[in-house]
Amino acid sequence: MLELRLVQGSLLKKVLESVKDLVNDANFDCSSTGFSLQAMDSSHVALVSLLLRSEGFEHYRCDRNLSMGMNLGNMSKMLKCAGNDDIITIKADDGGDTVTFMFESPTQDKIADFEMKLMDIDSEHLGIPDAEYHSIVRMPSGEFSRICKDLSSIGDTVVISVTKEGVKFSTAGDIGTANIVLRQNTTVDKPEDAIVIEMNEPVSLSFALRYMNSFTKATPLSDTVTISLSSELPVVVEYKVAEMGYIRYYLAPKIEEEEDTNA
Amino acid sequence: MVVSRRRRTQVTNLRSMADDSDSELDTVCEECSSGKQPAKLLLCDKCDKGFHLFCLRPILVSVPKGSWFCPSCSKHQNLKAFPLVQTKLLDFFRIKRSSSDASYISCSPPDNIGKKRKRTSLVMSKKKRKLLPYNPTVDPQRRLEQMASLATALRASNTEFSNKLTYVHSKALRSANKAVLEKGGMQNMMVRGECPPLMVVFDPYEGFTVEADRCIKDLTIITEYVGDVDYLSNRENNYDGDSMMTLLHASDPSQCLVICPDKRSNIARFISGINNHTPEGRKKQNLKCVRFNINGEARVLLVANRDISKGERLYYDYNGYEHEYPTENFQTLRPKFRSPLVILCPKEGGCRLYNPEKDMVYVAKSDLSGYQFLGNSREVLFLYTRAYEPASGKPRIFRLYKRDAKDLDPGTLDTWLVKVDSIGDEALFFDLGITVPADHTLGIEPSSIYFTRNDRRFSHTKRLTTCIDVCVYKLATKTIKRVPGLSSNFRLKVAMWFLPS
Repeated sequence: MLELRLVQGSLLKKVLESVKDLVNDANFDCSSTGFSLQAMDSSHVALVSLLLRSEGFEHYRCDRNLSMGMNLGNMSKMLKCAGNDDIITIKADDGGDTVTFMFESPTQDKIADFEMKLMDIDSEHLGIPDAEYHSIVRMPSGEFSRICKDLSSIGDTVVISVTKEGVKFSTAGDIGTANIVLRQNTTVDKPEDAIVIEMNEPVSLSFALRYMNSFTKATPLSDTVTISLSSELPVVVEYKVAEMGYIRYYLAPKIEEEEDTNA
Repeated sequence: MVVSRRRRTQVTNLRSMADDSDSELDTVCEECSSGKQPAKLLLCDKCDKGFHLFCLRPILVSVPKGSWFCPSCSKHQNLKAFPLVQTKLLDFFRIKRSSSDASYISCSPPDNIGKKRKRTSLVMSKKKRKLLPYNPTVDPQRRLEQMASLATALRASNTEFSNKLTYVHSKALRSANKAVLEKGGMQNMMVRGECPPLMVVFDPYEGFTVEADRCIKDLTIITEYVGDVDYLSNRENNYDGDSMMTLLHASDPSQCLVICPDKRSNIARFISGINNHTPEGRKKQNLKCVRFNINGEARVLLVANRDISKGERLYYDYNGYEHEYPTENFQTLRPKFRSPLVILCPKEGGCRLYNPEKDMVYVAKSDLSGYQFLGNSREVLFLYTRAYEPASGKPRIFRLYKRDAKDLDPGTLDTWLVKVDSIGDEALFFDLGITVPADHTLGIEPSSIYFTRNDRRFSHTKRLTTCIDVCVYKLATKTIKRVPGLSSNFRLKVAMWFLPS
């Protein structure tokens, strides 16, 4: 028996919007720690890892570890029917094949419930080790979203380099090249506007911009985004979900091609 | 100065004799292939290839003072950043071992990290015989062309595209596909998907066939063989598809599964098979067909078994992993369509059909491969027949073949079929599988095939048709005629042949 009650229902709505374009079907795993999801996109280049901790729910009941396969497009259609202020409750029975979303308006005068069929999804979970990253950049999420959008009008690959001068985003395309440099800036009025660069080692990696642009759909969830880079490791783009957890995107880098020496 | 010249140009013969590096020859100029004027032969500081100063373009006047790289090495250094290959997450992260019975092999993270000259190797080492993912074509335009060629071929064969095994209710369900049932166990593997670098081309001789559009390394997984999964026992009597692939070969024959790509499939169904009895046929083979246990289910993968160059056609052995039969006394027939049947012509004469999967011997007819094997007084004839939906308007096909007289050599296992245009003064009764001498008094015409259309009782939509009639196919004219006077007056349920003894 699963019953999760989330007062700030808009968080779940925003979470779905940020995941549904990357992944079509995925398993939501519920355990005592929380409500999580780990799924790769169809090309196995990007991975999204979501965690909403049980402490963030007003009521969290999860008798058994449950894995619910859902079509994220359909789930998003149902969640769009919830108001931004609604309280969202997720209910499911052990061994059942449906999940129910209940939306209550804050004034308690409107209650809607939507039931959705679950799917049987074979998913492989990747083990993601906790690693020490060479560089970690924290910046306003809106800024990052703007940079990715601007650069994708010039080229399709972004080179992110972190040196002691700051972080540089570059791209090249048919019409020319573009470089955007951000320097560390902690003297700002609001802490969420700060740009903090923690560089243990300089690093430079290339990534496909189209995935970055789907990651930035999570911008409404948080004011800041944390980008962690390490040579020869996927980049981690993390948006915190207000005291409840996080949504992390992993993107595999683009590397130099192997030469085929045997004709 | 002299010392550096010595080092940088062709060394004296003394050193090259003692040198046991890769080539046994003295270094020669890459352009003119001669080792003359060794003092003017410059060695590249990166690859050690030799070039005469005067063979280079532009010509170098003297040995440069600093380091010098040959044209190909210097080009590589400039083009370091392009083109880039998108890696996959699985190259970095391992799959977590689940608690269920299935186990996975994970990729090891790339080594040689950080070295600029050596490229990072994201490919698993061949020594351990691990399988490789294919490298799809980088150019998106070319990828579209590859996909378009597959779409054309699928359209022409009226097949829907599917990149996964499909389990249809009327056929086998997913639960039937349990790899544990496989006799002898299976290999474990892990599969990823994208568009393989292949082109489907139409060959007037072979039909649709598949070519590699890019170099494919040995042990690369090309594609998975997919289609509708069905029980072997269902498909034996209703052989509509022209290419079935064994999916699960269980000890209990009722659990054997096959993949039928006639309705839904991917590029694998267009890959041609070899004639695995001639050495030339075997040489053509560059893929092998292997069954794996993935997540507890059986899956069929086509894997390269040698390096394949761009433009090479892909071939594999259709019956590659079937059991081998003792062949001294037997002639085996591998028809164009995959069939496990073997014709036995033991020395004492006669002809039998042997199905090794069921370990049964049949006499005379069987529909399993689309061929009927018939014996008459003189020789064995093979009849290929194919019926089409009445609505499609295509007439039924009959083709008669016999064994090519030239290679009735018992030493060869191969037998090629030669078309037969006439069976002389005999008539063939399709349903009975025998031939009888023509007899005008009985209305039996020579060189023709008599058949009833019993199988048209149930069309694919399972509606009863009352189109039972008796027809005759004349070999000489290749036309079908109804035997008059029967169907209009009688509503036949079943038609059978009775011959006066």
